[in-house]
Parts: sequence; C-alpha cells; structure tokens
Amino acid sequence: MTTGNSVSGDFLVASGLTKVFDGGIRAVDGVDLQIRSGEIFALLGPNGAGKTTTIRMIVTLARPTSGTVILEDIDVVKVPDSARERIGYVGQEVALDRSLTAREHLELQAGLYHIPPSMQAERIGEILDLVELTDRADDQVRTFSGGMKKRLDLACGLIHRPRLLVLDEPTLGLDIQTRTRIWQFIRTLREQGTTILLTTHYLEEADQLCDRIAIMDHGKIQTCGTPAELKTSVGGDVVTLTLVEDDARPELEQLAADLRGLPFIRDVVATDRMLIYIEPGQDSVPKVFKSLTDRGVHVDRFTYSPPSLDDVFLKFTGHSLRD
Amino acid sequence: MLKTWCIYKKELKSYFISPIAYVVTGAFLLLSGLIFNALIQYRLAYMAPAYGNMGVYLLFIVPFLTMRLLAEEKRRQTISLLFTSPVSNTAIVVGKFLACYTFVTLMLCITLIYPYILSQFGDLDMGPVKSGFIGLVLLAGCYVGIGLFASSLVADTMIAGVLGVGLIVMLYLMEMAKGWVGDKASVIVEYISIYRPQQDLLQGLLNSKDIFFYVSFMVLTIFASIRMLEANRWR
Repeated sequence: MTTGNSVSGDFLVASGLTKVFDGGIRAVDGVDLQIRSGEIFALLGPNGAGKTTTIRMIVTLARPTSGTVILEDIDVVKVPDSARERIGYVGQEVALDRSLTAREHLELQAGLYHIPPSMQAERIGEILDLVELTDRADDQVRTFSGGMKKRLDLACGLIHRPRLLVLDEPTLGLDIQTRTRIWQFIRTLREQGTTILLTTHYLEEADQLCDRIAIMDHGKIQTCGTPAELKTSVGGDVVTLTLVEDDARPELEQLAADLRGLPFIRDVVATDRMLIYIEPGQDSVPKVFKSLTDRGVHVDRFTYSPPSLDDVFLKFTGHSLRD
Repeated sequence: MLKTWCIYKKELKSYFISPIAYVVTGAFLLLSGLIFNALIQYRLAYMAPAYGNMGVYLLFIVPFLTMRLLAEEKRRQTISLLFTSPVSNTAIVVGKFLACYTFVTLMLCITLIYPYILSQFGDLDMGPVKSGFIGLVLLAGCYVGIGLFASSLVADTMIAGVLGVGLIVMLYLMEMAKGWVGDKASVIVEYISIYRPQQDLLQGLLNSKDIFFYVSFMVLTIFASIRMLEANRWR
C-alpha cells in the first residue's frame, strides 16, 4: 500500500509518532521527523530520552501507539515487509552468532533478503572489503575483537544495499580509534547515497558526523537543525562560571534573573555552574566579570567558548547532556 | 521457501558445532546403549522395551536441543536481525523446527545399529522394529514442537529448557493419570495423548491415523510458536 507521499521531497517522514507502553509509560510523545535523502541524521539525547523506541518504530520492531512513518512512498506501519526491504538496521547490541564465521553471517543475511545466489559472492566480497574484514572472512566471530564485531554487524545491515541505514548508538562502548573508523564507514556510505539515521548520546559524534540533529528529551523532539544552526540558536558565546561558595553570595537563581536584565547578556542558565550567553565581542567578558564583582560574587573558575551542542541541549532541555 | 532453507541451514550447522548438542547426543546414546546391553543380557530379540525407554529419555534430551532455538535469539537480541528482515514468522519457526528435527532424527538413526546387531544373533521380527522406530521419530517431532513452543515463550534458554521438560512431563503425566479420572475425561485424555499411538507402533501396527495424529500435533505446536513470535515481533 502506498500513500503517494514524498511530495515534500523528504525521504522519511514521521508524524505524531507516539509509543505508550503497558503501565501508561509514554516513551515517545508525538515525534515529528523529516529526514532528507542522502543525509546523516542523528537523534541526540540522554538514556531514556526515547531515541531507541523511536527508531524501533521506524525499523518495524515496535508498533506505534499512534502516528505514521512514511519511508519514500511506503507506510511503514501498514506495509512493514516492503519497508524492511529498504531498511538496514544495526542495533545497540552486537547481534551475531559467535559460532558462525563472518562470511556465514553475510550469506544468511543475503538469503533472508533474497539476493540471488549468483550475486551473493560478489556482494559479500564488496561488503567485507568495505568493513575491512576480507582477511578474517572465514574466522568464527568468537575470535573477533569488539570493533571487528561491530563492523561485521554493520556489514550485516548493509548486505541488501538498504536505502535507509538505521544505527542505534553505533559507537557505544568502542574505543576512540574504532569509533573514528566507524565514522569513516558511515561517511563512505553517505557518499554512496545511503541515507543514515542514527541515535547517539555522544555530542562529539553528533557534531562531527551528522548533517542534521534532532535533540530529544522526555520522548519529545526539543529542537532540530544542522549543528551550526543549533549552535547559532543559542545566541552569542558562552561564559561558563564556577562560583566561589560564599555566604554573602546571592542565590544562583536570583543572580541569574538579575544578570538577564543586562544588555550584553542574552541568557543565563544556572545549574551547579552558571552559563552566561553573551553578545559576541571583545568587551562582553570583562563586563560580565565587573557585573559579578559589583554583586559581591567571586569566580573560582571560568571558560569562554563558542556554544557547543551541550549548550544547545542545556538551553532546550534545561539540563546538560553530560549530567 | 528459500528463506526457510537459509534459516534451516544456519540452525543445523549451529548444532554440528555446538558442544551442548554433542554432550546431549552422547548422553542419549549412552543411556540407550545401556538399555540395549540389558536386552542382550536377557537375550531378548525385540526392540520394543528399548524404544519405549528411548521415548522417555528423549523427554529430557530434546528440550536441551530446542531451548536455544528462539530464547537464545531473544536473549542475545539476534532476533532483531530476523525481525527487521523481510522474512515471515512462519519461515523462521519452520526453519528452526526442521533443523532441530533433522538433528534429533540423525541422532536416532545412530540407534539403528542396535536392531542390526540383534539381527546378527537371531531372528528379529523387523515389522515392530520399523514401526517402533518410526513411532520414536514421530514422538521426537512432537517433543521438538513442544520444546520450540517453550522457547518462543521466554528469553532465557534455561527457563525455556525447564519449561519444555515441564510441558512434556505434563503430557506424560496426563497419560498416566487417565486411569484415575472419570470415563469421559479418560476418553479425552486418551484422544489427545501423544503416547497412546506408541503402544500400537511398538507392536508393529503402523497406521495412517497415528501418523496423521503426530503430524497434526507437530503442526499445532509450530502454529502456536508462530503466534507467539508474532506477538513478540510487532507490538
């Protein structure tokens, strides 16, 4: 069944996607997403934000309580089998049988996606090449390192050349070298025309790898845009302050409210630290310090930087992703 | 069909490289060998007692082979690879059932050496041997079906194994309890008992009704497993 969607040119459109589990837990609450063809799109958020549940609905592992997912012209909820032909999914946990070899895994996947036997050997060779496992193709998975298993897992999701590759926390628990390698594979796939949707709670991953990011918290999309757009939306540079504990010091909330009224300050967020978003310009920082000193506040440590995705996260959710 | 074949091949291969499968097969052959030894010692030239006992051993052996079929996939989340591919629940369940049934049948085929040895020492009536063996293979198929169904219920292999044994023992006890229940209940128990046809088969009476009964029972357990998988796949 088709819907004749794609009028907007979006590759995948999720509308009002909601998942309520038994007991009334609303894991995903009215998520709207538009993913464009050929982009790397990330759902960024802390554990429990609803990222995994969202993609489980997109890859047909979970049925939405309400809402729709349209992949190109296919309604994923109504015609899951057709959608499965076009989606490659790599879960958070490595889904491999330790007793099988890399080649056997790929042969099984090729069979399940009915790739003709005459084409299988060539396709498997290509994929093994891509994930740099050609020389280990006939070794059992039990002899593989964590990074190799992840690469093979990725290969299993790619064997049928999916139009959409969905990766749930693709670099979770991997060392920095393997992580960089996985990023490189993902970029290569994008260059080959694959659209990629991934979840992550690594700010660096979202920032460096992705074309667009949706920040998710408490089951909802809080904001969405390119990394640059999101950072710009914070407005100005960020001064992060750790204040000296002092009985005479005013309460942080009160101080924040006080500072918000100053013309060179765009916004102030007070948690255990104080984040002050200031107008770009050389004289804003000294003005901040003067204002604080005038109010009897002493600074223990401070950093001054352009806004990061964590600042974006903090602005839109009221808490830091690093917390 | 091709997808069922892919799953069948993968599962069957898993058995041949699994140490548990070899341990279980070794245990079964040891126990059946002891029974065969007793036949020799008592100079009994018929296989019915051995097949009867093997049926009881299979009761405990088969769930060890079926317990991982679906429960292990769920525990290790490899089931998501199957669930996100365009493969039907029927192909998954049938492929796994046939793989396990093939392995159990091959294991039982090794015991064909016993009647061959007996036939070397005297006149062995081959009718009851053939029908008894067919009965054993059919009974094993029912056990595989029950074990597979147990494996579809949970995501823990040990619990799946214990549950499988429990379900089979329950059927076994139902058979034993038929004498204690009323006449009407006894008829029902008799009708659904997977052990009733065994008596005829061990005596050399092979009829299509019994074969149909066993095949139907297997189809029923496969269907129940498919339904369970559907409930897990898209909820």
